[in-house]
Formats: sequence, C-alpha cells, structure tokens
Amino acid sequence: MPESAADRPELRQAFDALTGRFPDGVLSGGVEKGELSVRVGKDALASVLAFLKDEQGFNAVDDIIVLDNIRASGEGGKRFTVLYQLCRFPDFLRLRLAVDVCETEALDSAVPVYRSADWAEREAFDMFGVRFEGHPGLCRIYMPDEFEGHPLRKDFPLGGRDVASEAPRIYSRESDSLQALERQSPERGIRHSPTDTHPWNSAKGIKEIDLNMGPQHPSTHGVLRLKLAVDNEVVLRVVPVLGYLHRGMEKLWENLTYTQVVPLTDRLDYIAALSNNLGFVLAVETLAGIEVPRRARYIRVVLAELQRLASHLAWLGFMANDIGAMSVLLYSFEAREHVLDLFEEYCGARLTVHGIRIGGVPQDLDGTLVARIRTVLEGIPKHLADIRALLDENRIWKERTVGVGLIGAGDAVEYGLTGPSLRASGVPWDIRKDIPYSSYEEFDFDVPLGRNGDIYDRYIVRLEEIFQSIRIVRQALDGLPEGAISAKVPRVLKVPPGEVFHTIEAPKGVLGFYVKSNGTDKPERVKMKSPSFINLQSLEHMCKGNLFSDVVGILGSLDIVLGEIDK
Amino acid sequence: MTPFVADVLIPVGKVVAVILYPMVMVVVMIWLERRVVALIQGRLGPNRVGFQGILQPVADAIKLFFKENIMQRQADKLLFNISPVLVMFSSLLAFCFVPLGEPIRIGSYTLTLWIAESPVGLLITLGLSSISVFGVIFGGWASNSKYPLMGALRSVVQILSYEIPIGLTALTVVFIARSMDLVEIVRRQESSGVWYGFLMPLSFVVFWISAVAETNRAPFDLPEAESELVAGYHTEYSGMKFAYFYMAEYAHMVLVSSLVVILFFGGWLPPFPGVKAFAFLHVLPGSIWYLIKIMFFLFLYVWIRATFPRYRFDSLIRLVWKWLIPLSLVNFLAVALVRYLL
Amino acid sequence: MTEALEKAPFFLARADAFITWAQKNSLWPFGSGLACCAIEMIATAAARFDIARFGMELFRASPRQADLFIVAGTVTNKMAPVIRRLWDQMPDPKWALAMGNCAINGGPFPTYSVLQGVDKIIPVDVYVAGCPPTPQGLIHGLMILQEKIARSHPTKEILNPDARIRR
Repeated sequence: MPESAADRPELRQAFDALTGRFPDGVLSGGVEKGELSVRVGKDALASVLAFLKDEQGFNAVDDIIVLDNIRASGEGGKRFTVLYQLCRFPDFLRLRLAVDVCETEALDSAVPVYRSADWAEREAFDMFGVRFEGHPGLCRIYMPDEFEGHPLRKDFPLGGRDVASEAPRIYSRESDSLQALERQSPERGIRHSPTDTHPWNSAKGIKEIDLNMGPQHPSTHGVLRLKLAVDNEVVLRVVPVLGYLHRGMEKLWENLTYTQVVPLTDRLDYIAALSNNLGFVLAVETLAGIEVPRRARYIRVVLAELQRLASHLAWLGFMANDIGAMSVLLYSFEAREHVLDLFEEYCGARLTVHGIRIGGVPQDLDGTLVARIRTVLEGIPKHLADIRALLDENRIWKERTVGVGLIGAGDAVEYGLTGPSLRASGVPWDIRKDIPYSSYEEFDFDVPLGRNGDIYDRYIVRLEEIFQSIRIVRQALDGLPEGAISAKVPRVLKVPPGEVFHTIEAPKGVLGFYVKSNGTDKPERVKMKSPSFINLQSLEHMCKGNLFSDVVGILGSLDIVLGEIDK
Repeated sequence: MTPFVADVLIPVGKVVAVILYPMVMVVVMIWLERRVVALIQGRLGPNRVGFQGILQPVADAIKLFFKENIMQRQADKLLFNISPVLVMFSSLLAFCFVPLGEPIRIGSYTLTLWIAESPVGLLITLGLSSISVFGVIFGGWASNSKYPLMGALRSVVQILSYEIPIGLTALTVVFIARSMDLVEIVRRQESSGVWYGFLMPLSFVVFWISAVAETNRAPFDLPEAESELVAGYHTEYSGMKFAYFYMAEYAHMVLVSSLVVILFFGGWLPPFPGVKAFAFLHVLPGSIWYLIKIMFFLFLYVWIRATFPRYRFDSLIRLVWKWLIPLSLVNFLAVALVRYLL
Repeated sequence: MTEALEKAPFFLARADAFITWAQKNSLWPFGSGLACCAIEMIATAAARFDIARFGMELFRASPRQADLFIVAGTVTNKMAPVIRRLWDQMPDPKWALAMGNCAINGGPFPTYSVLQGVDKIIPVDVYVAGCPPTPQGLIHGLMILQEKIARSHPTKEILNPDARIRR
C-alpha cells in the first residue's frame, strides 16, 4: 500500500458534514485509496463550493479536470464530468468533487469562491468546451482565439484536422493588416488584437501605454507573452497570454502506454525533469497498487533532491541574469554542470533524464557513483558561497529585491501559490513533510520559511533549500538499504480501472498528476496540475504598483517554466 | 624643419593619429572586454580568431559592414540615418583637445601629441562629448517603435542628470590647477608633485561614478539592458549603423578614461612625480605611463560590468539627484573655501 | 564595373574568402529559446562549453542585429507566425539552425498544435538532432555551419542582388 494512502477520520467527517448540509445535492461519494470523492448535482455546485470554502476550510482549488465520457453521452448520460480537486491546509485533506454536465449546459463558475480556479476553468473551456457562468472572462487560454473545436475531446483527432483555422497564420512582409490594426486608435498607443476577449479595460487614461512583452523576449524564460498596461513606468495590469508552447501532451498521453508516457513527462518542466517522472510514476503506482522496494525509494529520493539542486541553481542563474548580474549565471551553471554530470553517468542524459521508471529505478547506485555524488555535494556549497558573497549583501541587489513583488500569506494561499514562493510568504506548506511520499518521512530536514514574501525572501528560501537538499542526499546515501531497485512490473502494464490524484513537491511547487485508468494499457485521462500554471496567476497581484523593470525580476523570482504551464 | 613639414605634414599626421587612436583603442577594448569578462566568469572568451582572438573585433566589423541595411517604412529617414553618425562624431571630435601623451623631443623640435591646446580645453571636450545625447534621442525617436523610444528617453534623462556631477567635480580640479587647459592641468600636477586624485579623492570617486553612468555602462546600463527592453534605443539598427553605435560607446569610454587620467591621475606623469627617490620611474616614457593608466580604467569598466547587478531606473535617478549632486556641491564649496583660504 | 569584376575570378575568390572568414567567425546568434533545447543552448554558452571561443557569445536580443537564428525547441502553430516574423526582420545574410528534434520535424509531438518542423516556415541551413542535443552536438552543428559559410559566395550576391542564388 503506497505510503500516503491511509483512510483518515477527517475525510469521513468532511463527507458527513457535506451530506448533512446538502442531502439532495450530494449524489454519491466515498473514500477510496485515501481520497474522498463526492458526486454533486449541477445545481448545488455553487453552494457546495461556498460551504466547503467558508465552513469546512478547503482553501484552494488544486485543479479542475474534465473527463469526456463520449460513450456515456451516446447512451443518454451526460457528456462531461468536471472534477474539482480541493485541498485543505493545514491538515492536507483532499477532496474531489465530481459534477456531470452535458455539452449545452453551463456550470456555475468557481471563481467567485476560489480565485485560483480562474485559469483552470479557462483551460476546461478551451480544451473541452465546458462553459462556466460567472467567470470574469471566459476565453481560450492555450489555443489561438480563432481556433475552432476543442482538442481534448475524444472525437478530436490527435494530429489535428486539416482545416484552415488550424494552420499557422504566417504574415508575409507585405501584410499591412497588422499595421492597419495598430493604427486604429493612435491615442491609446499600440493596440492588441481585436479578437482579444479578456476584459482589459477598467478606467484607462490617456497616459497609459499598452506594452507587449514577448513571446520572444530574452528574459521571460521561454515563450510567455505578457500584456502590460503601464502608466509612466508604473505597472497597472499584467495579463499573461499562454499557449505558445502548447504541445498537446495530455492528448498524446491518451494514445500511449503508461511506460511510454514517462519519458514525455521529462519535457514538461524541463529544468527539473526527474520530478515530473517521479510525480507521474507515483500516481500510476498508487493506482496499480505497485509496491516499490525500499532501496528504490531511497535512490529516488537521491535523484529527486539532486534534481532540486540543479533546478534551483538554474533558477538562480536566470534570475540574477535578468536583474543584471551576468556572472552569477555563469557561476551557477558551472555548479549545475557537475550535477548534470552525475545524471549523465547514472542514466546517460543530462537534461531530459528519464531516470525514474514505473516500479523503481533503471540503474543501481554503485560505490563509485556514490563517491562521486559525495564529492560533488562537497563542491556545491563553495560555489554558492561565491555567489552569495556577490549578491546577498549587495546594495544594488537588495534595492531591486527587498520590498518588491510582495505577496502576503493570505493572498498567496488564495491564489493557490505553492512551492518556495509560498514558503517565502511564511506559509509552511511542503508536501515532503505534510503528505510524505517515497520514504521522505525517514529523513531529517528543515523547511526554510520567509517572512515578507518579496523577491529577496524567495531568493533566500531557495538558496536554503539547496542546503537542505544536500543534507537529504547525504542521509539517503548513508542509509541506503539493500534490496531490489525495482518492483516486478509486467512489460505491458495494464492498470485496473480507477482514478487517483497524487501530488509531490517539485522544485517549482506542488506538482499533481490525475490519472484515470480504464483497465487497458493506455490511460483514459492524465491531467497534470502544474505548479507554474497556478503560480503565474499571482503575477499580476505581485506586479501591481511596481515599476516596469521589476516585472522581469518578479517573474524570475516566481520560477516558472513554460513547458509545464503550456503542457 | 621645412615649413611644409611643420605646417602641413605634422598637423595632418596629428589629425590622422587622433582619429586612429580611438579606433584602435576601440578594437582593443572590444577584445579586452570579451576576454576579461569571460575570464572573470570562468570561461575563455574568443580565442580562435587570430592569435588569442585579437582579430575577433576585426571580424565583427567586417561582418557588420556586409550586412543588409534595413530601414522601416515608418521610420524618419533623416534622423534614423544621422543618429549613429552623431554619436560617433561626438565621441571622435572630443578627442581634439585631449592629449595622447607626453610631448616628444626630436632634436630641437618638440612634437606635441595633441591637435590643439586651448585655454578652455576641458569645457570644450565635455561639451563636444555631450552631443551624443542628440544621437541617442534621434535614434530612439526615429525608429518609430515603442521599445527604442522608452530606451532613448531613459538614456537621455540619465545622461543629462549625470552631466551635473561631472561638471562640478571637474571644476574642483580647475580650481586647484587654476586652468581649464588639459595640458596645463597635467603640468600643474607635475609642479605640485601630487596627483589631484589623492588630493581630492571624493571628487575622483564622484567623477568616476558619473562617468560610468554617462557612458551607459553597467551598472547603469538600463537603457540598453537586454533583459528588459530588448536592446534599447538601438533595437532597430542593423549592419554598419549598429556598428557605429557599438563603436561609439567604446570610444566614449576611452575618452572618459583619458579625462579621468588627465584630471585626477597625472596624465603622463609617473607616480610620485616630485619625489626624488622615485625618479627612476621616469625611465618609462610618459606616454607609456599614460597608456597604462588608461588601460587600468578601461579594465575597471569591464570589471565593474562583470560584477554588479543593474540599477533600476528610479534608483539610478535617485542616486544622482539625492546623493551625487549634493555631494559634489558640498565638495565644490569645500575646495573653493580651501583655495580661498590658502 | 560589375562586369569587369566578374571577369576577375581570382579577385572575387579572394574577396569571398575574406568576407566569409569574417562572417563565419562573427556569427551572432538570435537565440529563439522555445523549450528544453533552450536550456542546452544556454549551457553551451556557459562556462564549460563556451561558445564564446568561436565569437558567438553575443546573443543579440534584437533580430535586427543577429545573423544566426537558432530555433531551439518546439514550434507550435501559435508561435509559428512569430518565428516567421522574426526571421523576416533579420537582415541578410542570415542562417538558420534547427536545434533539436522538435525543430527538425516535430520531435516526439505529432499533435494538433505542433508545427512538424520549423523548415516548413523558414529555410534551415543546419539540422542538429537530439532531444535535446548535447552542447557538444550543438557546437558540432555550429562548426558545420561555419564550414558551410566558408563554402558560400557572398560576392555573387553583392554583384547581382536580384538573382536568387542558392548559397
């Protein structure tokens, strides 16, 4: 039985409170594999959500997942099942609400209750066509606005349809239409595309300029487009436009076997590939009931923590480069190279590692590799000491980071922020401590917390996490048990029907995988709850009132990866 | 010494030398910057093109020469074309009154290594180097695009604000030397036996900081910061025009370093010029000392760039108006008082 | 004058060698870092592999000042017009390098939103395979590009700018 799945009495309490309050609304429910799933009727949804937030204390929506029951709708059932994954902090109760809805109906939006559901509902609309009433601006999030169709529906082909609306619109040199669009209202500056339906306007004076950062921009860590409304350098609104790296991974996964999905998860958060592997593999193992041997769990911890180290070093370099200290990028990448050497020696790849497989790990850690890991771990603090000497007490650095990009603890939890950014605001939420997985409960480590929630705190928290990771790896190497490195997994893994939502603490935040299996060797639905996706929603809150130059620094301190945001 | 040589050949030679000198220094600076920044960052830098990469800037210049010359339809043609020229022109013209080294004695003739010597040389040099502001603002405006305009505006505010401490601190030197003539200032440092940088260290520090900001170099390089405004006011420039902006920045750095050395570090004088015990330092010609000192300041430029993060624009402006200008005013008054009393 | 020059192939060959020497040693990349390959591209510019030895560390942020378009990562249908526009904004002479399997032909993503290869929208000179290619692989690709540039004839384009000559 995997570690985190234990029936807790609080789950039953929550379920009883819910059924007591809404006897007609709650259609069915139960506790299975340590998760509470409740099916509610469509009309009761809004009040159930409000009840759960206000009285039961479920503070955030982890994710909104939609299932396409195309076969059921043919037989008279409703086409879509919308699942709301809710989480209660601080005791980490997980609740999954299921609502059935057909294509023509609209659901009440969860946004008035849970602010962090904003983009998740847009994604559900974009991918499936589920409408949410009361959403502040329901429009597509990944696909271009003029796209017709909803890609994740089961009747939409994987390779797309050969229609004009799906082909990329390549503007030729002679295209004046773009300039004509931009000349429409000169007093408002350069306009954006008129198909932009997101509410952009509040009270706009003449002094404001609309600025567009990206999608090609040296500092947005990938293809993120930010639309800013700026008044004399002070930022008024920030609206991210996503989808420039949407690769259709979730649809692709429905056509591959479980083993084939694992290497593709590397490409999600490409800076910390092993954590994505771990997240998916743990979810599948929970569903399939595979027991991972202890040695394999320890090796997984070693790999995951080394990956956290590498990810934080990369983040450090990128953020320092954005704020102007170029040499720090070089120093941190040099330190990261040593860790990547270890991965290369372990399983052959530097970046997209695929070093954790279903059932265990592919290779054993022999004596020479363990010795090499220890040597590298001794060298990392020296590199970090150099970097900290350059930055920690540097006046220019402090001026650009202290007091900038503030987000308080309450707001952070409201927005669904997770990971080091949340801990920098003082909220002690770390899945490794709270819902331990893969033997993390056997290790002794601290969770660094910040105080103010500004850029400087996020910087210090991540630096401290590097030291804690070194500590964990040393403990794991010291106490490496004997045994097998993998459970016996059949070549073609058929997972019994069921669903599970499993989370881990990735370097960027809480990474969750929802896996629904239908008994075959291919998953029915895999949905990834990406930490950067939810964290990015709080960008606007952090940027308001700051200067334009700070946007870059704040974005850097949030530590986002577009591969994981856009899937 | 025939009149032809004295009146035609030598002046023409001087003009050619004064045009070539910053250009050669620019080539050396480009190579130096890339190698030194690389070595500070733990890597090697260009070392394949020519011996240790010395031909790298040459390859860059030739490649830029053969690039396509793009100009947008909406751009203002005259201003777009003239701004790189203005920036380059002002940097080169300001070298007219800047000496390149110690006067050389050839028999009975003293070859002076400057085109002209003027009693107000310092003033003219500072004024001529300020013409580059026009190039910047024209470039940003004429590109008819948002990012270059914002970059140009920021740059203009920065340059204009930092002119003030430069002027005030240069004036303190003028007080002590009782002359604005650059050559005379060096001679006074020789006769008084101490470099003015040691006499008035505060002036030197404020002048140096303002000079780094004047030349748009890190940590004050926000107007051309890559990570924030794409490439600032020269975003839309390609090919040779961009090369002009690129080279003019380095030429301006060389000019500013020369000024710092002349005003505060004794020009072509060796250290401790008046002290008999150090007279052996005179074995090195003055021009070599001059070059060594200028190279030191250029190295300092590169070192600072590789180390510090970038100032945000409002902190930059706050620094000059709240700290540097009051400091230079107080310094100015103190020096004036001391001069009056002594 | 152009006719007289065309009758002097030795002079043209020398000029070609000179110009291509400068072009290949001073390639300024426009790093279009889209996905995972971007991280390996940055690692190539970092201290261990150091693209700067070849003179390529000046990653220009503006396409107008860059010569080499390194497409590093997956090009989606939504991003394709942006890539095309950036390519058009680059001044001649320019080269493109498709880095990684996604840029070559869509990589592991045969899906509805991924452009199956960036050579569908821009002309690619060098393909560097790998998912992601190692920094050594990228440097190898860049050196092959340098050889390709050395074999090209820029004087033909200068003397006869209207004829579309395959480099």
